[in-house]
Amino acid sequence: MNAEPDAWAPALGFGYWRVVYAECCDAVLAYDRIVATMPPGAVRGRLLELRTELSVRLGSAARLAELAATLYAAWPERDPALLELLADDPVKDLRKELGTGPPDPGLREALLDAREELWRVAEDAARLAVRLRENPIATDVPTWLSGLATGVATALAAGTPAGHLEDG
Amino acid sequence: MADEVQRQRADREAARLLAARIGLPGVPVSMREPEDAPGPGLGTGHWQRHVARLSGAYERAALAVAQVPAGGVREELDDVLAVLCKRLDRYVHIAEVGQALLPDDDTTDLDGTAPGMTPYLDGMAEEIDGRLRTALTHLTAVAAAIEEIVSADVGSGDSDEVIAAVDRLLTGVPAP
Repeated sequence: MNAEPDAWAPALGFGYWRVVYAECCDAVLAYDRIVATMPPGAVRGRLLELRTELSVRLGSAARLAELAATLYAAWPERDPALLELLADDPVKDLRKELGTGPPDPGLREALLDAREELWRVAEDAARLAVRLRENPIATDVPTWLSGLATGVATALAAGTPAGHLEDG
Repeated sequence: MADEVQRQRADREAARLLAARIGLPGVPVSMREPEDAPGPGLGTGHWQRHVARLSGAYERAALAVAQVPAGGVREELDDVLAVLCKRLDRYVHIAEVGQALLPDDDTTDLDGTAPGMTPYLDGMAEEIDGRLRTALTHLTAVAAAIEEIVSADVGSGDSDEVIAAVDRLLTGVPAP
């Protein structure tokens, strides 16, 4: 039994990192909903097996997001609310103290890669679900399944920035 | 304890407001309250509207067939309706996959679309949308053809001609 993805579980404050991690959670939730639309059978069973690996990937995305939120909690590039607060500081306009982006764009890219890969897996699952409905006796399902498993493996491998984390 | 719950609610609401501004279209599903969660099955938005249109085309065909008196012609058309019903069922399942992948509901604005508005679609969601549009073209064409056959043949009793027309109908308008 896989745990339900929980966007509120990691300590991410509220801001960019929380949102991107929530979008990672959404991909896994979409995968679950797609599998639930499929008729019982071997294909659905295989997709349920692959779900365990997605949980592992989501866990690693959570660690990336936590690391980013810890190191760059106030990264404001896409947070107009925070920029307004900094501009209104009574001492001076603190926006000028900020850099133009996070010091380590690799960390952000790693998290975005994880999100993209998780969504790609969800899309592959949807493709497979549609294929099964279009032609329940399709003979190319094993090929599609194999493609999906490859996508999951890629998701597991993706998004680990060098020098930051190693996925267990 | 109550203060803690209140504070958590306020924090989450602030996070959702920010997510609506900086995230992908809409507030992420995983950040919403249960009442704004995606609807099950077809949902209450874009995908449900697809199925309503497809069902409308099927109903139109069924209505035309219902005008035909019992007999050989009616049996042939009933068989066509049974095929259409199976196709409709398949399209409904495909629309459910669409809702599962990219939920859209008229019961919430947090999905980034106002009621009745078409959501932003890309990737597989766009493909599914395209398939359902093609399916509607197919069902509408078959319904119109059935109406034509019925209006031409009700009362004429020429079952051979109707059977030939039905055959042309099913082979000439392939299902998507």
